[in-house]
Amino acid sequence: MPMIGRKGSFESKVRSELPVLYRVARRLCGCPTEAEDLVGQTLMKACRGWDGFDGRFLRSWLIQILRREFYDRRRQANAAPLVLDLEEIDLVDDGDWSAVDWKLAAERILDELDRLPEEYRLAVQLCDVEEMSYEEAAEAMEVPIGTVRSRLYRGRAQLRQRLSAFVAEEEVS
Amino acid sequence: VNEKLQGYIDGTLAANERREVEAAAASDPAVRAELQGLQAYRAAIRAAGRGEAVPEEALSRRLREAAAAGRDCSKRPWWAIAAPVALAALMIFGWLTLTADPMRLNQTRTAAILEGPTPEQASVWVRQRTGMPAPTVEVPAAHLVSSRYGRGWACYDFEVGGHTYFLYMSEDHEPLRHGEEQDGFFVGPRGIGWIEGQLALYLRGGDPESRREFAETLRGALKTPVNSEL
Repeated sequence: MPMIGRKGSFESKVRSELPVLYRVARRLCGCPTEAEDLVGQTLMKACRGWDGFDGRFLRSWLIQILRREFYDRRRQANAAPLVLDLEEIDLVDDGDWSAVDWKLAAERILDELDRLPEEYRLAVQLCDVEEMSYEEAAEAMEVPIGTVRSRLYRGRAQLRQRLSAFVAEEEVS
Repeated sequence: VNEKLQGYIDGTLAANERREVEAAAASDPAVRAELQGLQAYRAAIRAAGRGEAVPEEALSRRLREAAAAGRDCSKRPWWAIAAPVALAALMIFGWLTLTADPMRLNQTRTAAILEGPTPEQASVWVRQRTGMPAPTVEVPAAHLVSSRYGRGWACYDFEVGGHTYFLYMSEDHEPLRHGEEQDGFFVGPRGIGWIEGQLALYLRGGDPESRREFAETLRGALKTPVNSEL
């Protein structure tokens, strides 16, 4: 299929995005095999839709397909629902960033990241791990930029609270 | 302050705001420590997230497979692609026509879901999000699993004695008129509806008998909000 003007061939353009797609899939699924399968299905759909891609924000477009595929699968599996909207939960941010020992093992940090509510987790993954801009993340998550900002803010705050608590426990023990 | 600092590390502040943060960090040790903590967080989470093993070989294979499937697809003549699509569309249309629910209120996709709310939380949430005077429904034997809404409708999902029920609500009463009127209810093949103040309520799920019974229980248990403007 596709040699499409300025967008280039599907295969060559998408190749560099594979690690990002896999990491995002991993955050959503939790399981490596499932994540690989989700990326495979995403690539199939993306390839089919390549003609319709507007050439802007390739990464966001791919993550958008991946998210939709993930939610479709989950809905079919009759597990948890489509979007868990957590905007009502009040979070008192009285923490202190300097209180966390960031030399914590990477595994521990990722464990805590995986325990965040899904939409916060995704915001943190996209903006902090993958360094996407608010605009790119908004496109990928299909929400307004302000929502990305608030989810990121809340996600970071929860992460910090949990890791601070962990550091405090470690110090006591 | 925290929001400003986060804006600073995210690179979203204007030049004058960045200078303000830098000046505050230079003069206030607490702000400086907080900023350094945030920067350390960013570095740590990036290193942790990107340090995970990625199955590069397997992903490359998946990419080749996807591209090959795309190539195969584009080589086929247009009618070889269009014919199965048209056939599938025809079958779906036929199936939808045969199984269509004339009283269906839910016409658009779900915009958001609130899982495990209390009856009060579900009502407030739907009212805030949709502006509809969503009632509070407290039935001791029924477990409210979630509440949802889309454009022009909302729904409470219940589990009762092994059955799942969906109580849809909308300000559009018209779909209910397609049902057969019986003792103040509109009864259709897939659901049972009634009108409560401004709202058309429509219950789906379960079998017709248990559905009717649950609809009667619900009708007696609805508490319409006193003030729907929150």
